[in-house]
Amino acid sequence: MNMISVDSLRFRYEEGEEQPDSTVVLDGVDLTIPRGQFIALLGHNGCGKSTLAKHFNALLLPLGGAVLIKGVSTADEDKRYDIRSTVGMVLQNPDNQLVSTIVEEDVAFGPENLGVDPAEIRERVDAALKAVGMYEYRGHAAHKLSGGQKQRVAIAGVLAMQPECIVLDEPTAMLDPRGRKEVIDTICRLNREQGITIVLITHYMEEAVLADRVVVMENGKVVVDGTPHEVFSKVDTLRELELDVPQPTELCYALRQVGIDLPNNVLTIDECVEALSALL
Amino acid sequence: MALIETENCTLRYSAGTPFEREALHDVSVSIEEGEFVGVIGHTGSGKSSFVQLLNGLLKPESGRVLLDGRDIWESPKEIRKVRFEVGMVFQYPEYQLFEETVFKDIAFGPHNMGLSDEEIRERVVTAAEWVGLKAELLEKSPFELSGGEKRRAAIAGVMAMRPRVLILDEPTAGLDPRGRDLILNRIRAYQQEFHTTVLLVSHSMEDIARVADRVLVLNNGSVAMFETTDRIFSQAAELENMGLSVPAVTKIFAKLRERGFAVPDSVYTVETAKAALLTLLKGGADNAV
Repeated sequence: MNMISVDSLRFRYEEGEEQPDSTVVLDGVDLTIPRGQFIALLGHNGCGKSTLAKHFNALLLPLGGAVLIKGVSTADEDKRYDIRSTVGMVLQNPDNQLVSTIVEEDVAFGPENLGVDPAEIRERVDAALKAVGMYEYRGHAAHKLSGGQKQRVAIAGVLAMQPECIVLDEPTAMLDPRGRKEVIDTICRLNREQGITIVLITHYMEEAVLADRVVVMENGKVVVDGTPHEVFSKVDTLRELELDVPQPTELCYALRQVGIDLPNNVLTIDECVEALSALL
Repeated sequence: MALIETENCTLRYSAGTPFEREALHDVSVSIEEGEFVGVIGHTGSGKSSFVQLLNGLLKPESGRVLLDGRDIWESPKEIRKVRFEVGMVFQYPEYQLFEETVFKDIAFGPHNMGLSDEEIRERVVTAAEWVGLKAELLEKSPFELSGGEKRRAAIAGVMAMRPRVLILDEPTAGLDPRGRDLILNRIRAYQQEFHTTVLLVSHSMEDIARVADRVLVLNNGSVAMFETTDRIFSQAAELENMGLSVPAVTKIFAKLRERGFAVPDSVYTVETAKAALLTLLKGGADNAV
């Protein structure tokens, strides 16, 4: 079964409602995300990607079309709690997501609200903190952690609710390089080891290349969808959309433009080194 | 003579309490007029404390901050004037827009400087042009602008004071590639036009690589490096030990060198990488690209 299926989704913010951009419209989005997939969602600010993501755990509801989580419509009010415990959400600013002063209390907040038995909460909190590599910080003050550590605690807070899917909206935008790496490594591990479906919204192309699939949105529609190799080989299309390509891809593209015989599907540093070594 | 300089500056937070922490330790940095300096360092390395010393938002406990060779704390009552000369764009400055119109917001700084209405108008219009804000947006409420436009309006508000030193703390954080390119290009053009000294604080090594002449690396409150951009990024291992990184093309060139290829160690942008590889591939015949 698909984890998420989006069918002809249309959405527009009502006048006066809190809105990132009054013109944002989801204009017929079709997308299915199989269980266990790691997808990266790219596009400009205002293209509709965050609005789409908020439909995945029923923070927003479709004006037209439907969003199904494991076959259940988000419009079904009785199922809203189930949907929110299936799909967890992590946002950009770590400081806005921590609710308690102590790390383990923060992680326990979600399962406490779900009415989980205290002994089980203890187990879930420990497991979640271990999964993000923050167990040894369980007694620390949350506000004194680094940005990357705070984001990992936020992820642990979602994990403690045992979701099957985690949606992350630019979780690394405010982090330094080390923090970014900590968070991305954690996301990859959760996907690989626990089979959690991941939807990662990002502006960093080097993060997108780690996904199984890359989906690009523009003006409220999905415009490109494929594996990272497929998507980033379309350098001209991405340039037209004013998006970046990873530097290794960009370098090979620039050299191909002046007649150097390099493959058009180079994504990573190692692939680029291999391709260049073959020529030099 | 340096335009702006710190001499052995030390700064502690919560001094005299059990939470005392040294934010900056014996920082001596000297920046010339017209330089474009990138400031990098992990979270908590002292970047923001350092730039706040430069415009007198923080006062060093020991050491001096010199603007044009004069101690900015010589007469503390005059510190406000320093802030007109050393302009600061904070992180997420769009949250600080507050006026009824974009025009009034950009005019806030020049107005405080006591300029005439005519002069203020001229500066606001010019600053808006510099950051690429269309003239018709000036009469709108700041809250009607998109995120990228708000960010640019906030930068224009500082540019309109025509500071001799322009400091930007993470001006591209959270922007998409288009918004980021626009802002970096406009800042670079502005710096070249007015010969302004610019300090850009960023977590993005790629942004720093694109615009900076020299890079200041702070680590645990001390100056770890302060060198030209190419020399900085040739020290990948040291940077990684400090929780930083180098651009992907720099890593590619490092790996090529490990394999014994004679590629330079001072490559940090796609353009310089391309030129270096073409020189090698075509035997130096065509390196003009």
